[in-house]
Amino acid sequence: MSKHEMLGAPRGAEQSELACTINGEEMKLEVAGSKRLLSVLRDDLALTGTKRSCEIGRCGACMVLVDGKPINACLTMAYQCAGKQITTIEGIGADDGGMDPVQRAFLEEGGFQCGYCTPGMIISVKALLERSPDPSEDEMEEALSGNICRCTGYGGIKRAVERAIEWRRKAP
Amino acid sequence: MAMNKQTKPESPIVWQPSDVAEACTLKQQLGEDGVFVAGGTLLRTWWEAGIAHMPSHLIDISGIANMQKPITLVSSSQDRQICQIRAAALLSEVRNDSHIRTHYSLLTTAMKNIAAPSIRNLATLGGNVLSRVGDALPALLVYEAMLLWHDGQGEFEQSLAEWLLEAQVSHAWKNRLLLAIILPPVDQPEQEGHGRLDVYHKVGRREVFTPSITTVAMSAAVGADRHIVEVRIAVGGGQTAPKRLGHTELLLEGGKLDRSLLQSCYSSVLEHFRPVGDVFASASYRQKTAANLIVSELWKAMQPKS
Repeated sequence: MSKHEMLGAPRGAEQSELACTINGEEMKLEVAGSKRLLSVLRDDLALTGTKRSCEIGRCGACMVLVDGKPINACLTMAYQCAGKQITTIEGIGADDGGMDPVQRAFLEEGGFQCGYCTPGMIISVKALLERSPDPSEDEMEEALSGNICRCTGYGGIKRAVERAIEWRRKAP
Repeated sequence: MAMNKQTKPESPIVWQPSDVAEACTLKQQLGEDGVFVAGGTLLRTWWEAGIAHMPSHLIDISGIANMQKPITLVSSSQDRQICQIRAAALLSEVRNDSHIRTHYSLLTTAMKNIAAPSIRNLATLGGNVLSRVGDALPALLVYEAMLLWHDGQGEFEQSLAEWLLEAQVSHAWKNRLLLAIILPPVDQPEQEGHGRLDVYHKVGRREVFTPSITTVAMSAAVGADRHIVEVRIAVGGGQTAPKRLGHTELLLEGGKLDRSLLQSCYSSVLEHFRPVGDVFASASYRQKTAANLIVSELWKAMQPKS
């Protein structure tokens, strides 16, 4: 029988070792197994691009990729990330330090206003286009159904997604 | 924005048993201090909202070896396939499974209507079932799903409908572990010329990613002469425990779809569906929504095919 907490630790011990990869970097973190991934990222690692908002999985501001799939960091517990590849908005950019095409599309098409929802939106779009490079409108709407924007309406966001699709299509 | 949540104590001990027997032993030892968890999405929202208190121990079942293959097909005695969905199967895995899409399309539609893709990548079918109000339940009731439990002594099966009734009066089920949801083979229409009427509707206050006000699942075979057979209807939504509408099914079974039968059906739904109302939608509103959804689908089915 294995307990997620370190073996031999007294009952009630909170810390355990979480081994995972975050934005390409292998990490071993001492955290409580039930600590939320959102708190690990923001409070322990200062990766504050992942936003704290509704905290019940409704708004999508805390979206991250776990093994390439979008997941709400506010609902995910640390132990569920063991051995996983986690990508936050800080890890989305190109290797040369430039922006990912999805980020550039949001910028150029005005797919944001206050910007609070934007990291989550970009993560969701990134996951969509990796899975389905030429998505239908239904697929786009479903992929973004867990991301709420309260500033722009969704016109600019939709244009940004369409622009990103277009760039990917034209990419060599 | 939820503020200062980071100061809230959140340190249950997470146990990761490697098999079912260990999981059940842990539960017996920990009692109410230990809670089975897989995706944990619903539990987390309950904890955040203060609806449930965070337990001292979480028993994570997602690493149990025989919980890991999400969907298994088993041949029955009549060489038809029974579909066994592990309780820890992700909603996204159920949604994307080709066998389920082909043979249990209402369940596929239900999956698309539960939460958003990111939550479906974490949440499990077992969790949706055990919430007792999950939107998978009406579809599973229509397919006459069975639940496979382990109570620490051994495995046993129980019909979903029976468990939903049991759970209204007893918490004993919380001490056992849900292993799988079993879908019996779906019978094909026996009579030539019968078409399938398979519909699933979830009505909420938003177009997508919304809690249900009313959820309806219905399956039937409708002949060219508009006779309807093999009728199964289940309703739920909100905090209402889903149930089959047996009286309405009996009323429709073998009948010929016409204005009179549809009127009787509407009245029957109003009489036998007893939803729970809240400040957003009254019980009466939910009843009428269910009746309208069912009757409108039957009306569409009785129209001449172009």
